[in-house]
Amino acid sequence: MITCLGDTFFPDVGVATVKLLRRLGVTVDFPQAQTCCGQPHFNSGYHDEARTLAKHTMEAFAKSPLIVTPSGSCAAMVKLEYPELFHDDPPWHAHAVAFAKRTHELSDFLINVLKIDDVGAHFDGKVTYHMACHLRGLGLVNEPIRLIQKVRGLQYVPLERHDECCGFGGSFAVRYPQISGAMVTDKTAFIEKAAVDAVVATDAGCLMNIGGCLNRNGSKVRILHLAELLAQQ
Amino acid sequence: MTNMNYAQHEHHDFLNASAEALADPTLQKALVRLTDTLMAGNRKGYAALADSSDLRDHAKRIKEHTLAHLDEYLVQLEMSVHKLGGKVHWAATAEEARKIVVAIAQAAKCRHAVKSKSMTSEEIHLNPALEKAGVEVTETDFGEYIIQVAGERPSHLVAPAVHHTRESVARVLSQHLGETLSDDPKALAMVGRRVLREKFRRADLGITGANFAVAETGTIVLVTNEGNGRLTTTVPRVHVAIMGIEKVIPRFNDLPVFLKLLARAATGQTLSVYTTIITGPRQPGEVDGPEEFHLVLLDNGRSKVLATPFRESLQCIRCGACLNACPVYRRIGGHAYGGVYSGPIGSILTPLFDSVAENPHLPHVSSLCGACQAACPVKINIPHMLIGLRELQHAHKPSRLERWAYQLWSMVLCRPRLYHWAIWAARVILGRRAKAGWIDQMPGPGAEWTKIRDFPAPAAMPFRERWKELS
Amino acid sequence: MSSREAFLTRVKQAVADGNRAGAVPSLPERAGVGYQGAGSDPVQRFIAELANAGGKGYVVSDVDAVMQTIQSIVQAHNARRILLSRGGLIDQFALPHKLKDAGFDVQTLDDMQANPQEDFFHADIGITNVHRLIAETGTVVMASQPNEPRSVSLLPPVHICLAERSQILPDLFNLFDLFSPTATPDRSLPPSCLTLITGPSKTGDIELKLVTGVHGPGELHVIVCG
Repeated sequence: MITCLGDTFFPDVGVATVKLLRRLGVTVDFPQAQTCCGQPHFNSGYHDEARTLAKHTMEAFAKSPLIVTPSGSCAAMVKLEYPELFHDDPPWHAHAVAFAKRTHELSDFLINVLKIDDVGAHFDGKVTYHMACHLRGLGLVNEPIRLIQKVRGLQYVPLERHDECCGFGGSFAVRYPQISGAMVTDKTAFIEKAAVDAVVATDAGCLMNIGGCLNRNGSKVRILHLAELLAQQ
Repeated sequence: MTNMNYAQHEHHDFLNASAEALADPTLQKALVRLTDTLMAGNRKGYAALADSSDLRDHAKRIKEHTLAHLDEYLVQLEMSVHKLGGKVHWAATAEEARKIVVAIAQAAKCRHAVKSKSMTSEEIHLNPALEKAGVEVTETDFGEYIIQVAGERPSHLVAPAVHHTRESVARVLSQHLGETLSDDPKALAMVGRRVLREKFRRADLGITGANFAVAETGTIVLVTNEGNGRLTTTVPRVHVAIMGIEKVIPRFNDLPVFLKLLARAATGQTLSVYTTIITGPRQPGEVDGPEEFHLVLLDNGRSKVLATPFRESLQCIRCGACLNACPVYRRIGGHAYGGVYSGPIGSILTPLFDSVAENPHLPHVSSLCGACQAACPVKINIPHMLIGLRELQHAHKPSRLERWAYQLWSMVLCRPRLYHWAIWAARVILGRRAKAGWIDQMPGPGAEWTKIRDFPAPAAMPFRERWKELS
Repeated sequence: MSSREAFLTRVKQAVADGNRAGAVPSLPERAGVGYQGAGSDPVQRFIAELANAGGKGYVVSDVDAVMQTIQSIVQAHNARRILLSRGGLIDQFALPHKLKDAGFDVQTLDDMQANPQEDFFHADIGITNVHRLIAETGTVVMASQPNEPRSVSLLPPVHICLAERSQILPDLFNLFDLFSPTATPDRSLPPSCLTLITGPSKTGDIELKLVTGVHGPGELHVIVCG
């Protein structure tokens, strides 16, 4: 599942995900009907629209036995919210529960389904890691760090307050630019303090926000999606 | 109709208040210190309990059960209190609660009230009503006392004076007491002890909240670190406890479930210093403790919430952990929220109890990062409820343009070819503004984004195009 | 309809409206969840947890050692007026008598009849028995009764309490089971005031600087005998 933000702004992440999965022997398909999981609508309180998009997404993946997404936020939407969205609609509810079970965030899939923490990646440089908030909801607290630490040539530098929100939060960043700005400013200051070549995250939203702030400040630190890091050899 | 008891100002200016907080370096420093310290405690506290997550689930189930039978447990609580010789009062609104407490004070001829910190009494604005009736009221939690003398409101559930510095406390107390006080925290606290001891010595009415009440025994529980809760229920001859109806739990041995979690969640302590477990008034032969015990059960909007899916918010045990965990609270502090309750839980309670329409910002002042739920001793799904309030807002004060935009957007997203076309269009429009993959000035609502940071330019080719080269 | 009936009718309706069909949870049983216990040495655990909370524990073997411990605390404070509760180890050790003999100004509950409150407010040190100790949390449990007023452990700036080893409970849950009608139906109700004391009185209201003794005792000493 490569949904709206990844599709539009970070297609390299999708490409890296496909390459990585294929390298690990996984057959990958990309159903063209997929667009957006409906999270922006859900989070803004437009639940009817979110339901429509959830149905659309479930139908798009009807034939997929397993769904992997390099996005904690889409995975969280599917796994944590879809079933509840259809609480009063038993057939769709059952469908949503099954769909949630088949869906995995990338690091979850690698560590907990494929049971691999060394994907044979190589990266020369110092890297730090920002934990996306949706991984907290999914309980994926250590998975990405385990994967990062197995990358050859990489020096992992823990990030101060690595699990604090970067201030993205979708519409939050636009509604309250000052508060969101204070959050991302602190986040990038910690990243600079870590003196790394790149900061890794698992979500397009964080990368947009952190990357946009680093770029505005003329920083030399690169943003890197976990899939991009793990695809490197 | 709005209920002025929750939102302090009917048209609280959230944007200005939060901007002021962000621009106040002293407050920023205090908030970082507070939230860092208390969150380190929260993590340590949970980690020290081997099965803290299971215990939190158990606590949540007790609350779920109790709220699903709340009417029955309230009746049982009333019976238990009566058996002990206490009196139960039913207050549907803040106004009724104020009248009840004033009447108790007048009937017992009380002139000097001491109060242990109680958010419920903040909520009903009790002090001015008592003062009008000629009863002197003194807040005795040291932080609350500072706030009372300064004429302010608490800005944190467990650290009400966090927005003060040692210098400002020294200034406020010096002016009030007509002495020149040093700004040493220990010395100031000892001045507090001296002044408040005199208040206790004269007090004839003790007013408290209740952290918990036990239906089967008629017990109420007060948790404090200073001991003012003990003094308030030891010295005066009349004790009035005011509690929200959601505070009742069924059994006496359900108490340790919550006690083991409350202090750990709030500060990381195994228990707060004083847990005062009161079952009725002074018994024959005892030489201290109140002769009269009154329990005021307050609804004030709670039953309205109980009837909705927002019921889960009534599980809150007021530990303050969600405030400490929240990256937004950490930056804007408690006053910016404009209600009696601040932080993530306040963003739910204020709109629900006051008015959804009159508090348009609160449900949105969250990045939905979920740190609150992770810190909550009863795992309240705060992000979910904020989203639910956003939905409710559309019903109360619909923004047609916004709804239309979301409908159009979802319509496009359900038609993959139209969606494909739309991202091409976005690329064409935004591509002209891009410099090396980033845009420093966005049009429309995106302009708010680029006030702070750059926005990524849409890729030359979306993934769905790149897929062709991959297959 | 009285305001009470209207109140309860409203709550009852709200309960019914808010309950999700088929999903009304039953009252859960805890089984063993959350039980910590005290490990192999409850006394050591108690003393260690008490120290964590800022209190001071002493393990002593006889009455002479109790007297020595008390005297050293009293002398360190230059305390004059000592307030004692009644019964238990205090009587067993004849503490009022011994302290009077040692030259201290001792006040027992027998000494004060007319206005005990003034005496409570003026004491420098309060000495009490305890109802129980809890090892898991380093907690002193006081149960109010005629021999054990709430004030003695509260109003003086220093609180010394005496306990027997056998009074230590491993876990907080054990204490609540003692009074629980659910756990033990024939038990009497809890006392009018059961107080759990875990360390000296604390405040952090000014810049989070920890200050002890703002309201309750600034020092807590627990002497475990036997």
